[in-house]
Amino acid sequence: MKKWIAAASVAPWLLSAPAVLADIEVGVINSLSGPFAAFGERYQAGMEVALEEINASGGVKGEPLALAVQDDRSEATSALAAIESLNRQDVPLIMGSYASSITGPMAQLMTRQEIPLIVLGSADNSITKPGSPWVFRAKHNSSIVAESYFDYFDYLRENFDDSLETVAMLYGNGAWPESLAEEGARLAEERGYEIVGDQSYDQGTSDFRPILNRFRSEEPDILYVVAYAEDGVAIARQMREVNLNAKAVAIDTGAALPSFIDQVGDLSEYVATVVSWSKDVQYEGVEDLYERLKEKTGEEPTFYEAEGYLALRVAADALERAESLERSDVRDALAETDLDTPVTHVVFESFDGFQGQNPIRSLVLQIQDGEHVTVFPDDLAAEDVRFPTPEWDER
Amino acid sequence: MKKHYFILAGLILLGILYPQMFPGYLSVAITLLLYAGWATAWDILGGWAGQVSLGHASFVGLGAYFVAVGTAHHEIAPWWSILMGLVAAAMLAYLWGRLTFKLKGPYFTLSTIAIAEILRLIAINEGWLTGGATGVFIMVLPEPFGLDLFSRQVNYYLALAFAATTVLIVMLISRSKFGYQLRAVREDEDSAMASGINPTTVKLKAFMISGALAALGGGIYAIFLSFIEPHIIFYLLLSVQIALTAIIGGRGTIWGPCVGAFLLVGSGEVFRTTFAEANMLIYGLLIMLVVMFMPRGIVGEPARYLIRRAYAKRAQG
Repeated sequence: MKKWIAAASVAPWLLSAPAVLADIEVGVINSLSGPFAAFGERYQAGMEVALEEINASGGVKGEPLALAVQDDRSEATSALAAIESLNRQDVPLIMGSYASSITGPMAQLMTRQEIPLIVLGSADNSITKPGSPWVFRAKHNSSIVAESYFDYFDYLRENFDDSLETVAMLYGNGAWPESLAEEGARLAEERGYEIVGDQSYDQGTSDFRPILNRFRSEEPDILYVVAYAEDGVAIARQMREVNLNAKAVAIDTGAALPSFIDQVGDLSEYVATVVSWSKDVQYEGVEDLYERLKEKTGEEPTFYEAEGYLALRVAADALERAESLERSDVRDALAETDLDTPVTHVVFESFDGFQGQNPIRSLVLQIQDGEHVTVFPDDLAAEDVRFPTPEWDER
Repeated sequence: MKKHYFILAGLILLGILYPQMFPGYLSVAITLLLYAGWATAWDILGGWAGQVSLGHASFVGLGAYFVAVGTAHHEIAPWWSILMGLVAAAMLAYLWGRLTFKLKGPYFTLSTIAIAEILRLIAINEGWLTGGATGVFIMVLPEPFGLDLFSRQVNYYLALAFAATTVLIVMLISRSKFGYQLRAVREDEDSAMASGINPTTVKLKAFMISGALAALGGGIYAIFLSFIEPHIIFYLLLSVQIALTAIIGGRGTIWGPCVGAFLLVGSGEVFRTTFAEANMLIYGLLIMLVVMFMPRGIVGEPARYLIRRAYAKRAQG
């Protein structure tokens, strides 16, 4: 009986203990279990690196910063429950989540409840277009990524080969690939490219040869592919099998991961892909960030970790500048963000129907000698573009 | 039977008071009520008529899409679009049943997966109709009687009304002639036919009611999320979750699906906040334990025991 009384008297103190340890807590809703957990862990690692950096340099408003992390189980309904839970903890802002199917409902609810949201991973246009005064995204969206690809194609056309004209598009039927394809088609028309192939596939398809063979007969100058990891690997391998050649090959998402080079090997050479961050981009502090991210994850860091790091840096910067930790003050401070980080420069602007969106300069990486190398834009590039992609028989 | 009505009335009363008692826990409650309603609706076909469907996400999706597309693209008020969704779901169930009820056992179940997959592909690829793979945002909703349909409170009461209606319908069915026909068909189609029941008609009716009710919940779900994507809403996993909720709780019982929803959604939320990354593992273990030790479900197992004891007593005189 005595034990129970002792336990009961200690329990309230124990429950309130974390609040004493951490003075300023920011909410995080991340996919730590379920199908998106592999990405969620990478974002988490990036945020932890940022947290260590922020606290080492004095925290926020002189207080240590802490993360109140909630798992969304890769589901929208759990994310909505997590918002309520973090709302009860009275966090000044929330960061989240990876997929647009989760982040979309989050943005809607948080706008209505007037809680500032910093988007962690979702790149879908619809999150910030038309957006809301409570939603902020430091990373790119489908329009920015598609524009980066076409800026790159324009650059190739102007500097290497003015006959670049025909484009073949191949993309999965998920939200991200479809929106990138839609933007791609719009830009192709706007900038005078001719689309000679436009094919979507059901995600999970493993045999792309019939489509690639059809593309081969069209002899496209540019191949614009949007595919997730396994699909991207299969497409790259099968292009060689059917002998599909193109002067420029871009594979979004799939080709951005280090595992793509490991799995595809030499066939991955010359492939271009757009990312928000790369270890060799010409920003100050990149090497140091790369080392810290690598130490934290124990493997080659990607743009996912960098985006996690970026989100928390943006949050801490806004909290530091905010007049108080009231949500409306934090929102006002976020809206006035003007921050340099080793990932990118951040300002939140309204443009082209977007709101609270950072007009981030995305990077084009090309795989050269088994490494991802930044080749575009010119002023941020580490190496020159290798162009044209030689035909398979000549490799 | 009266006791069931009393239980329902008591639960509705508790449900009405819940937002006042726990105003910060509405999202979990809405999810729980939606699953309770969907699983109860599923059980009309899966439990009472014995036709296991793994395609009920298509009805949820149909209801959700009618509301989302109706509001976002055609400015149709959600109460009309939900009604349209109900009719469309019943019609879909009729056509679907006509095509597949000739198949028995696992073949019917397989066909439900196939048809749900067809609907998912239509939702993804027919962008002009559905908004395509990128999904649909519900930005504005009308405010009937000054009610903000986006507010959690209103979402909650809609979900409560949906779950209560579904349970009430099942109660009425269970004691009606139709309910006995369903059970007869479930136990032995040939014997049912011999006593003058047309199994196809009975199953079709059950499927239409079940589908229409699932679509009703789907419409509320769309308002609750206010953003839907075909990959999520027509997902096989959602169909499996709905079926699992009813099976774990107890198929062919009035309260089984509700108990299943309480256990699965409630424990899912507790595990999510308590066990971090391990939550799915523990959730899986819980399901396994129930399936191993209570194969007829949490309500089904004790109900069977009670019924058998009653028969035994009667037999003893």
